[in-house]
Amino acid sequence: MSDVVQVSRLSIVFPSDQGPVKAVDNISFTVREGESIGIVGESGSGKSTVAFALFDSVPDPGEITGGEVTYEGGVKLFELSEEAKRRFYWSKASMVFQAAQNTLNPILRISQQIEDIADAHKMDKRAALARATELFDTMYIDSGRVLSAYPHELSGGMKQRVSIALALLLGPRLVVLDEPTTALDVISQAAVLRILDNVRRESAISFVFITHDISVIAHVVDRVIVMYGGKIVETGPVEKIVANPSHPYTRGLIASIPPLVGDLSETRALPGQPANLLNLPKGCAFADRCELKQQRCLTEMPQIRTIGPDAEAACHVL
Amino acid sequence: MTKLLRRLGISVLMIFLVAALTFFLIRLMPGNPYEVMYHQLLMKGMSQQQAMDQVRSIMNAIPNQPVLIQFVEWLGQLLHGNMGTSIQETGVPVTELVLNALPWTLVTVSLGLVISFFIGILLGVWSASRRNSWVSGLIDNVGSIAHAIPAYVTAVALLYLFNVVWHVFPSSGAYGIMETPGLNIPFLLSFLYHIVLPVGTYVLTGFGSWELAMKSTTITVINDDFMMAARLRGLPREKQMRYLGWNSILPLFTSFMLSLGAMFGGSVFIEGTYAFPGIGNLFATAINSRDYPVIQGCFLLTTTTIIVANVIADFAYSKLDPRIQA
Repeated sequence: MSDVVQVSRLSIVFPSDQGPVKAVDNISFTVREGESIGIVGESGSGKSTVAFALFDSVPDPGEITGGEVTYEGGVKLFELSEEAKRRFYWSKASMVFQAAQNTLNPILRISQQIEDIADAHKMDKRAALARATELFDTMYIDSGRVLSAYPHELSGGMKQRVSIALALLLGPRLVVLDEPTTALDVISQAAVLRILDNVRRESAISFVFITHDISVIAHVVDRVIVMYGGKIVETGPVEKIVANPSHPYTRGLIASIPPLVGDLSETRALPGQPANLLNLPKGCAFADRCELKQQRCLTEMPQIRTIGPDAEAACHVL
Repeated sequence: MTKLLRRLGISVLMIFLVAALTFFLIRLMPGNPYEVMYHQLLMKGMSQQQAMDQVRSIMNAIPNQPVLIQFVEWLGQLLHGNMGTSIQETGVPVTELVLNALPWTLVTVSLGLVISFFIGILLGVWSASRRNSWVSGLIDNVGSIAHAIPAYVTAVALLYLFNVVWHVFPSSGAYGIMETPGLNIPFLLSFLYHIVLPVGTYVLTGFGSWELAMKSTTITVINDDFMMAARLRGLPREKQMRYLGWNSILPLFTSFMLSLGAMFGGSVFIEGTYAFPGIGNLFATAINSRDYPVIQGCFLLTTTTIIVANVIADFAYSKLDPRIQA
């Protein structure tokens, strides 16, 4: 299988009054054709910033200070002209936002927004509307009503599904989904995830899920990337990460998920505070919260290395 | 439709209330034109009866009639479309005075409002798109200062500079004395030439608040998720700007319509400075000479303008912004 996107040695810095904030520090990963990966981490781990970097659209004042994002066919994103990037966006890679409810222009009908996308990519408007109708049908959306509706006339779950349909409109190779279900109730969450899973089974599309809650996406991803303090601390197949996590942080993360049935006392919260990106330690960023910490964890940065089949982790103790 | 009727009903009621209030308020002002004239006539040696008859025939009012009765009488006349006659310009109907003055003010005020709105919108977007540079700070400060200076000061300053010092623009009137008002080129040119300073005053004192308001809504909208979405959807820059522009201007629309009324009020000072034959000037002169019927006429006209503008704004807004229902 070929790689849809390859991220290599990506670093992103947010300048601030107290000094530069290293939001993303030298991370590399690839997404293969038809693969679904989840990038998991707590607030401030840099996962959303990675999502925007995949579009060279890191929010101000963030700055990509190093690395490369290479799409299929050797397309080096950061080297494209503005116009080439514009044409690349949405047709090859699209995004579903964290608050997808707010990503629709509030004063235009859904049909108009679809036509605007079609216009921008030289697609026939009628063909675009027909494709949207098809997508809406697979998502159990009443396309007749929704097409002529304004965003405020739709419910949150509806808008979310519309924005997913819009993301799929031009048949992209990659869809980045930033917390696609956080704003939804559990029923809609399940419905949306099932729709996405069906889409992936029917086409060779790749997904990147960004989430803080691994339990929500566990059933729709193949591989998980765990981020902490702007770095990748562990990657591996989802079954391995959930059942047998290696890195102490991942273990803590999995242990903190409350079980649906059973005793809450088995759930443990991670002690301490998330890493301070302004003042990262010389050694492992997780060391001060780690139960297994050793002397070298404080002085030496652990490098990411292979720890099993298709699994990597950055930890001295393993 | 019933909503429209209800809105209109409320509007008529409001106009009536304002009319009634002004009727009594202006009679609370010190100095009463009927008595002034009555006493003047007495001093000229007339008998009380003669003076009273004289006042009644000139002013079409009985000086010592109770105010309430005067009010009822005035209201009755008003319902017939008769706003009475001027005291100062004896015998001239108020309707005629007001309707003669209205077009001048309407044109200058609307022109001033539209120009200042557009300048403000453009500068606001510009300032918002460069909000960390010195240009933005300069635009904001110039706008604030121009807005903060009272309009009559700006008017006097412009008059001094462009008339007294540089002799560029005329100091008074709405057109040259050689021209005949109507749809002819010489008159229109002369008119444009004469309104440069009044309109310039409205623009100078008005654009700043539009600029600041537009900048703030634009910055809010720029950071909205749908703008990032528009970029990632690969929409061309012009389309993105259209998304940004419409969403930023909409909140300003209501205040735009309301300003029309406010600027009618502002015209009192500006038209006085430029001796411009509009409503503001008429109003100022009427107040100084306690010309009750004319004052009432001006008030009535201004309120009606504001209220009508309000109703139009409400209905137009619901057409422009799908989220609002009239």
